[in-house]
Amino acid sequence: MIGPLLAVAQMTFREAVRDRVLYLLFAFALLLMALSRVLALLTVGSESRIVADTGLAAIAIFGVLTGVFLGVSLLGREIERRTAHTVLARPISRWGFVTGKYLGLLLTLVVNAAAMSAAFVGLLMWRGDPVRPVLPALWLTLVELAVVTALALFYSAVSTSALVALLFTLATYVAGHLVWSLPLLVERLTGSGARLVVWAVYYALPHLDRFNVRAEAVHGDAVPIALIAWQTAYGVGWSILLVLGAGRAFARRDLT
Amino acid sequence: MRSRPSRPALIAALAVAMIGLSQTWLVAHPLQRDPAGRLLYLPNGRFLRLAALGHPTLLADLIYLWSIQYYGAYRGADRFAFLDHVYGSVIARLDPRYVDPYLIGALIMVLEKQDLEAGLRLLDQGMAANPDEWILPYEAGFFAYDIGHDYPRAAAYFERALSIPGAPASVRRLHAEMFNRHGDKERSLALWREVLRDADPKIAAVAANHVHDLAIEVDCARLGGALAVWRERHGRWPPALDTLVADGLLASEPLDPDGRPYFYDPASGSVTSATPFRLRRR
Amino acid sequence: MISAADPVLQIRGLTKAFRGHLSLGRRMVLRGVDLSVRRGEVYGFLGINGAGKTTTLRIVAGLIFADAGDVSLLGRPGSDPEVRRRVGFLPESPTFHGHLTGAEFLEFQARLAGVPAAGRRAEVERLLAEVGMRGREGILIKRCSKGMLQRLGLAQAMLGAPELLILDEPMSGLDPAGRRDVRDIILRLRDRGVTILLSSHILSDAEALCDRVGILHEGRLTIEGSLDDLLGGAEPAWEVAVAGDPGAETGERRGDRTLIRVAGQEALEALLGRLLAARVRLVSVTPRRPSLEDRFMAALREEGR
Repeated sequence: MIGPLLAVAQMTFREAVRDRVLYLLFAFALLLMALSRVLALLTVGSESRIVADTGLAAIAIFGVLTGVFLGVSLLGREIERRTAHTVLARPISRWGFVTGKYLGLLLTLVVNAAAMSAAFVGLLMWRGDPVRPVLPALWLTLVELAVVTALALFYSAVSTSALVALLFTLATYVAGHLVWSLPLLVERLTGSGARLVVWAVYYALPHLDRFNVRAEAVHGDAVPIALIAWQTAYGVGWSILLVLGAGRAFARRDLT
Repeated sequence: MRSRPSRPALIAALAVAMIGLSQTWLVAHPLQRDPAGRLLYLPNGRFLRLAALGHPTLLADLIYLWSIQYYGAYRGADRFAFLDHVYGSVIARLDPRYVDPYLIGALIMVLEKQDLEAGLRLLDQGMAANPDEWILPYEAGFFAYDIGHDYPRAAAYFERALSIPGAPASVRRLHAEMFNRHGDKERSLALWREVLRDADPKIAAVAANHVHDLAIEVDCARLGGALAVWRERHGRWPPALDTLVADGLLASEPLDPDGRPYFYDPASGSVTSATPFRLRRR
Repeated sequence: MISAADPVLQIRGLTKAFRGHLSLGRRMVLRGVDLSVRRGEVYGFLGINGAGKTTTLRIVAGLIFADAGDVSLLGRPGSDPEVRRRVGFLPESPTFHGHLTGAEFLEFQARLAGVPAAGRRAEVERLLAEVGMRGREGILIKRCSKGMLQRLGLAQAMLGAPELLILDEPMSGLDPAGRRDVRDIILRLRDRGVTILLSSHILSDAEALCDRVGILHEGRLTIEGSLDDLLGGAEPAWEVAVAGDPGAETGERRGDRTLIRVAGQEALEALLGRLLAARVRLVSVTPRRPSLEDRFMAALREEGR
């Protein structure tokens, strides 16, 4: 079972790397980093901070977009176009297939994020700005990418249309960044029914805003190791859960 | 997967446990962070109009809302770094007719940053752009009076507010009182008499008190002045107040507001009123 | 372990319905299909387009789940993934990952099939040659023609020397040379002892290749049996080709030839007599078996369709 799983992972990686969307998004990220100096000229913030913040934001945004698009296309398109048929007729379980896809995607994202991070760190070093403070932000961004990609995979496995999967993934991403404000809403709600719904949503969504430690990175504040560790555990837990859900949904699907 | 059907369920349980545990820890150990973001992307002067992208009032609104969050929550040492810029330059230039930011900005400057001049400058800027808003000179007058204890300046602000229709009645009283604080009792008395003349019954009682006390003070001051002149001439205090009248230094001997003559002590030359003051004097 | 006489593939009572668009209505595709394929035979699974052949084969391949019934492959239940090492599947109108070359695709499939790394390259090259794709394996799949895709599909099904091959419309998209090649490959495989289940809607293909056929019609296997059983036992038939004006005889015109069909020895002799007497120019006299198509249409008429 491991053998075919790794074969699928390797193939997914190869296919992702040959997808032009990857390079387009990478180019946009680099462009944004290059333009950050211009942005610094137009605002009151100090230039170092703006370059750092823009760079980190570029990696986060384009990393997420890459993860979402690849995640949806690599599973959803494959089911739609039936290229998965010959693969699934082999001695590989549906779970193994989904997990292999995820690992391949993850590898792609790691490589992509590493390349963007290298460019970013290079830029910082060239400017003489400190590099250490941004490292926790880069790592947690990567963990966030893993979760968002797992989301994309999950929705692809569940829905019949790649477009629907894409929309749901993006919607969940936005909701995941806003979910921290729900407790503020609960205070204003009367009626236990409404509160129950809000709490249910609160616990059902991944809290993606927590992966953002860019503010600390930009201002050179330290992020405790314990927090990084627990945040990573949080991300890993969610990724596993989502991939399992994707596997389960996919295991019962008719592939027509 | 038929041989071990519970494996996915076990892994799922493990994942849920990871999520739960880490969430618990993370909620208990939040990062101390500034909730409203910091001043990275605030447009500078050269870029302001461009930044607005054709919607300067909207941008002014957004920046104002952000500023309230920011200054309300953030307690970092550098929080006043761009205060003037935010309110005086960014918001004011984007939307000069937006009154609230002048008020809030001045409030922060005066009360938190403790920079009265900056606050008054901002309010002056607001007044120049909004001559029909009484609240701006009113606030300025209040700051000048309460924080700066600069009564003439406060009086000038209140006078400006008075000239704008819609100013509340209290401005007149403040205006009148400023002269009192400054020491110009006669002017103050004259203004208070005007207030008394135009006031409704509730205010009339207050105004009457002021007039009463001010009248005493004005009379005492006048008597004191006359006494000093007499003493200059004769080298000693006069024996009685009507001596001043006889010598032509006073037209007549004044009576206090209750109609009683003032009490004069020839030994020390002091004049006091038989009637007590109604208000605490400052 | 199974014995040589046990069926390689056994399907019992397979039932499947598809929900219509927007969950409106249900379309019964399979209504209890029973089928078994014996070791070493070539079984033709036939039926018109839309009869449910592809659905059945997809259920066997594990891509779709039946509502009822069961499938057993080589004695094991159909849901056992390990048994798929010994089964090869060629889907209908196959599509593969466009970004790979043909060779890369086959290597990937070989890896999935469990072919050991040491012999993988050799196996892939062997199969490329066998399906006639040697020299074109470096072409990206998205640039391959339908015929090339079909050949690659057949090659990937043959990876790992499976005992059972399931081929859904293996001849589709091929030109006559290609069809002949595929036919030759299938016959070679049969000679090696591989069991083959193939589906087609072209009955004449099946006639050329299969030992037994089953015809799927309206969700059930209506006709099943060996070709000899189905087609033999009828009267010998003949097809007489004449050139020019056939005179009083009627037949199918093909250019300047006329084909006259006649059944039975006596009728043939009578016809030949008449033709000779009328000085009609004889071109050929060919024995003609009734075709599967004839048999099928007759069966449909019997059912009163």
